[in-house]
Amino acid sequence: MTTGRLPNLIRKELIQLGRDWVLSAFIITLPVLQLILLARSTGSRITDLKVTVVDRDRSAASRGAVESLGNRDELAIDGISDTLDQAERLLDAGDVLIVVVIPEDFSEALGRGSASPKIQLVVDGSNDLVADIALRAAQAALSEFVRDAAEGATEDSLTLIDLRSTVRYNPSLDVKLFAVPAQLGFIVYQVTLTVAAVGFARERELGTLEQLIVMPLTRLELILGKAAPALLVGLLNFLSMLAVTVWGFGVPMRGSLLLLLAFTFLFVAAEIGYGILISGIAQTQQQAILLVFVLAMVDMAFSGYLVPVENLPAALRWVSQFVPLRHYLSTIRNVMLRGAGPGVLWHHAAAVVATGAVVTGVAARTLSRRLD
Amino acid sequence: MSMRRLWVVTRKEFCHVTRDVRLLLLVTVAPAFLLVTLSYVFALDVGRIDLAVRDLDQTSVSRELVSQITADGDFVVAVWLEGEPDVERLFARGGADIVLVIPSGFTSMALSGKAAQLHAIVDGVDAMGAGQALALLESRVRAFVGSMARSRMGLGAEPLVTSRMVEIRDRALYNGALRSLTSMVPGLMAIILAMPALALALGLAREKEMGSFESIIVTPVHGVEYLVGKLLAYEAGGLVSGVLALIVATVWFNVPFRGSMADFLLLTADYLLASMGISLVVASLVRNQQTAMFLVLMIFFVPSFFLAGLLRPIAEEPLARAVAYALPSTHFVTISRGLFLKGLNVSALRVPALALLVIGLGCQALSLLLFEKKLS
Repeated sequence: MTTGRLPNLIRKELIQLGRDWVLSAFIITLPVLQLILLARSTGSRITDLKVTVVDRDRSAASRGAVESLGNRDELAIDGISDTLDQAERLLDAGDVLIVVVIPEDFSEALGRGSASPKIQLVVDGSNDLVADIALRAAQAALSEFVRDAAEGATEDSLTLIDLRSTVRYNPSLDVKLFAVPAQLGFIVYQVTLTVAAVGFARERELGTLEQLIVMPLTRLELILGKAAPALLVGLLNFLSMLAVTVWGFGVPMRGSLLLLLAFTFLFVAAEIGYGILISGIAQTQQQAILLVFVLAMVDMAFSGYLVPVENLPAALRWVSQFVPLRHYLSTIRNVMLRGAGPGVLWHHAAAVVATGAVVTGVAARTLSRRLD
Repeated sequence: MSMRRLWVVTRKEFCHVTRDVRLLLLVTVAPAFLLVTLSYVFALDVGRIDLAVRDLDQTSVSRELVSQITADGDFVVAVWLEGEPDVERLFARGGADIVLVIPSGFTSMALSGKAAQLHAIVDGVDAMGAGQALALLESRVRAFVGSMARSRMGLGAEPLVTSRMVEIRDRALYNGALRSLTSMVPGLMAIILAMPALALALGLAREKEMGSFESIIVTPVHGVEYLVGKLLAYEAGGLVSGVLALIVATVWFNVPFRGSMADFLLLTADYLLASMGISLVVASLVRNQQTAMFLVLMIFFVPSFFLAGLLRPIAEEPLARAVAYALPSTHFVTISRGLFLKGLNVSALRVPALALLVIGLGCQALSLLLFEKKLS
């Protein structure tokens, strides 16, 4: 590798990126805007799921039960329906999520103290995650209400075992602290991969790849030259979004910034390997971009962001080892929230480096086959 | 607008898409493939919670407590801790979600009627998961106390628990078992069917980039004919992938399809129209494919995952809510779940269907305007 050749190539790439000022402006600003939007919408607990009540009892007791439902953060009372039919029409339309039916004999059964009062819950199961939250909240609210209302329930069974819980790292169980760093990692991923993936595909499509090939550059130099703008963009985005994450959203940075930066560098390099592989396989930018889309969806699914990796079936968990994004998200959380040091991180780093090296190697081979 | 010229353009686009085998696969089969992959990952009905237990009491009662907590598999003892636990390390490596410490003297306290202490240390990083795990643990402990009280009653001791339970019967409509796949597969259709729209944006940007756009301008084809022709070709590809995805959903994943096929095709075409409308606007604004892709991914694909009501209900936060309703995918998640699970017809789904139509036509008109301006 002669000095001068590689820097020249890198300079060419950066000039090209800089000249396309529309793209550069988008690349710099959109990720930050997206982080803000997504963090604000996903960084909170699920609250105020709409409830409608079919109150057949119309007593002080039934009103108390309704009030106890409304007092849960998760639920919000959205009117009273006269009949179950009417309520189910609201479910069909998606206007409410859960229907609570209080029977005629509710207050009577509650007062008599013999038969348990029967309450019926009908939930919209079309989104099971949300349905589950609504059901649990309604059950908890109603059980508590009945327990408090029932006479003779003075003995508090809970005092027999006193369960004390300590929550580490995030005592107020603030969802933001989990969601925002994950969004940060995901956006860095997305930007680097897309910038890297079109590199060669674009040259090929515009017919300028031949010119690059006839230049006295080695394959490695070509790849490094193409990697430079993606690397720059990835790290720049990372720093600007980290600033928003820490100062804007108040996510703590308990570990070492330098460590996180170093890991980000490794991760971005590995993703560029993937991008260049795609760029080498695809014949047109259109293909390259659609391949990025497919890869991004699969990677996101395996990353442990939407679904914790520990919950995956064993085979899929094994596959997730080869997804750098999964290691990157774990590392961001480990460093920012748990303040973890190199001892915990080294195996994530090793996995990223190994996967990245293999992928870049394959990419270099693919490229050489295509060039000859 | 001449039908003949429109047909010529549509055929030209069709040739483009079908000649490029990889592109054809990416537009038609890849969405169905993604649906399979994504659905498996999202189909997780029960999240298993790993416990690390330090039992300092070592009695039959403490062992019974642990076995009752773990009885149905929601909680699993991942590790029995012998010495002082290194909580930080356990959590950082993902070895456990909760460390449960049963202090010595637990049993004697509990049996003498005093409050016996139990200590749970929770990894709060995944706040939502941690909150749920903690609530579940509390209910398990409460149930254990109840069963302890009952067994003491059997021995003739005083009843400790007299509070009655409320009888709550619950029933989930549309998805009786609250099966995750049943609700995720129709929702994910909205995301994967965005691929034809992305391909359209790229195809258009490509023509601008390569300069072949100019050569079309000099032909007698009008701007409208050109755009509509292109749209029809990709719309057809999108409908094919929609039907493939429907087959995957019903045959492979056993998701019930309670609506009608005609409604499905109509509303899918409606969705494709809206998402392609956004693509056209993007394509008419930018000069090259790279920028087009970047915009489509950033303003369409990623927000769809988080804002469209796929996993969480549509946000209350005003900005996020406004963005959500501007996204075609938000409306299609409602439509798709309505068709598959609720068995609704077009008239019951008219609100999201009209929203898509408005987004679609509005964007087409806007993009036409932008193109005309460029051409003149």
